[in-house]
Amino acid sequence: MKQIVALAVALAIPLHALAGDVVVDVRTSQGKPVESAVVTIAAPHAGPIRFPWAYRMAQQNMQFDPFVLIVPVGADVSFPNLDSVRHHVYSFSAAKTFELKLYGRDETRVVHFDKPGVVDLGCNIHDSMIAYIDVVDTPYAAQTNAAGEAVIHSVPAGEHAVRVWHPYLKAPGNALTLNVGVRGEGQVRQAVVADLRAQPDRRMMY
Amino acid sequence: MAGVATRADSQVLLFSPETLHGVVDVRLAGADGERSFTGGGFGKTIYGGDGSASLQGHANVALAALEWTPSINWDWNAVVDVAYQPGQEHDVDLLQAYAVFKPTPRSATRFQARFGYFYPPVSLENDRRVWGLTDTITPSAINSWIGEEVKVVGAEASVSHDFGGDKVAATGALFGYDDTSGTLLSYRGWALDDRQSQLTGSFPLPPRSPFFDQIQSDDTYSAVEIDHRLGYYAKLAWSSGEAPITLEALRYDNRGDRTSIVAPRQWAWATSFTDLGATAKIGEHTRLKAQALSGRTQMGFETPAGLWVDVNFRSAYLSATQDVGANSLTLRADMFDVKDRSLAFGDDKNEHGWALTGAWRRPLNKYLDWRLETLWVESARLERVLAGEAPRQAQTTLQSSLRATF
Repeated sequence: MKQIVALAVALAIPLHALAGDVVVDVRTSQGKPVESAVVTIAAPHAGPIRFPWAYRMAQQNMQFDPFVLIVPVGADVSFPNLDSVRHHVYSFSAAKTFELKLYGRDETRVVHFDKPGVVDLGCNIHDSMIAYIDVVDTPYAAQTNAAGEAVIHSVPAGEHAVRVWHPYLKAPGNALTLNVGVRGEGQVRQAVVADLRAQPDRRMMY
Repeated sequence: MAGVATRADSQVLLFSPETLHGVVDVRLAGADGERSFTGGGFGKTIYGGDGSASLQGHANVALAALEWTPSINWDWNAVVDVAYQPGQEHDVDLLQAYAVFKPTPRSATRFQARFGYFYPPVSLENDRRVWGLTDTITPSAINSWIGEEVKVVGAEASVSHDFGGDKVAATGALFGYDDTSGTLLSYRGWALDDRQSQLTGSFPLPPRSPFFDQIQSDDTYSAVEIDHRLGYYAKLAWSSGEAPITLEALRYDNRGDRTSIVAPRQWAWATSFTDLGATAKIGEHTRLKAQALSGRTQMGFETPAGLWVDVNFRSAYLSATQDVGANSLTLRADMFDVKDRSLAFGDDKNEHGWALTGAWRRPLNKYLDWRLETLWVESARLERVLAGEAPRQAQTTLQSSLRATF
């Protein structure tokens, strides 16, 4: 047993030492920060994936909140309706097809997301409500803040593929991929230029 | 959880704060120039002057409406608008009543259907409760006419498909109860006003030549079925996935039998038109809208001198709205004309004119919205001499609208 612990410690120390933070700075070609872009890094990992934020997609003031949510494969996401009106949440995305009929007055339902991929959310009563859940199979994921910056901590050293996705990104699959090299320690900064399409008008055009 | 599921599955939602809404519009207005058409004149705006250059003041509740939006399940709901409008034949009447079938989308192809009494999807300006306006107090000439004379009792089906950004929607409808469409446009001409037609109400007509005085009632009823022929409209719309642009085209034909008549002297008019619409956003805070409508309406019998009434009508507008913080400023230019193709009966329905509108919108809170608008309209119509007026008239109105919505 002692040997196993010693081996684990011996392995863990170098692994920990050979990891760094990756900061991805996403801006348009005009230099405007891109918020709510999802940055994921495909790097080896072990054990279950957990993110520090809540797996929660609220409906409040006739909008989804947040606009983009990252969850790991296997997550149970709660859908609280904080409005006083009904919402009819649906998705027909390949990663998850579901439908939730939510009365107002703080009714909550939970949906299990078991496949990786982007899940587009809509409300069949309020066409202008839109949001996205990115179901990921890596613990190295974050979304950009208002400054266009996403920080992913403790990425193992090595050359990794980085994917930047945004629902309106002008690229095939709304995503860009690039490689980033993580050295043993410290921080790697990577600038990404990502132009966005105009936010679509989701009102029905009938 | 079982209790929640039962409640969610019970589905019927008739009366609740969610299904009852109200709109009250308190209006202050000043207008110079000719008298309003609301009294049976040729004026182009709802608040007229006294025929002089001095400003006449008006204060009223321009609209007090209840909108009921019940659901019988998650796919079927309804919209019922009952409103008080001053100066209408009935103080209170039905403005719209229709059921909507909107099943949950299962793919990028979506479906929707409407059944009942509703406006064809022509206006780019009216997308609020009770067919309310977004940016101004007064709609464009095109959508003023839609509000007065283009509302149907019918069945409409729409299908849309999202091509991964670009979206195309096709809509088709069969309808009745819009046989008198074209009456106001012919006898009075275009106008700029936010009155909406009533299910059982009528609008007064201006003075007519002796022939038309005999054959036509002094009022036109907006929702009447006269010839028992179905009309149709069809619409195609496209929105870009690359840029914030939408384009749409609609063709309307009430297929009226122009020689049918019912009491009180209400004729079926053969009215058809094509409407083109476009919207664009420039940056985050500037929105452009444009519509152009061109059509023809005919009524009565063929004579050696032509049909009793045979006119072409056209109008177009371009509007630009700029957000200024939480407020917005809208500028709109309208042009309109009517070409009379049959001058056989002592009438001359030719008309041309244009209008400029400037509106400032200030949302005060979640329920209250304040708008200030100035509208200038100039037009020429020879038939004004029937009312003892000069053919060419110009008018300015200034309006303040405090609108409460709940």
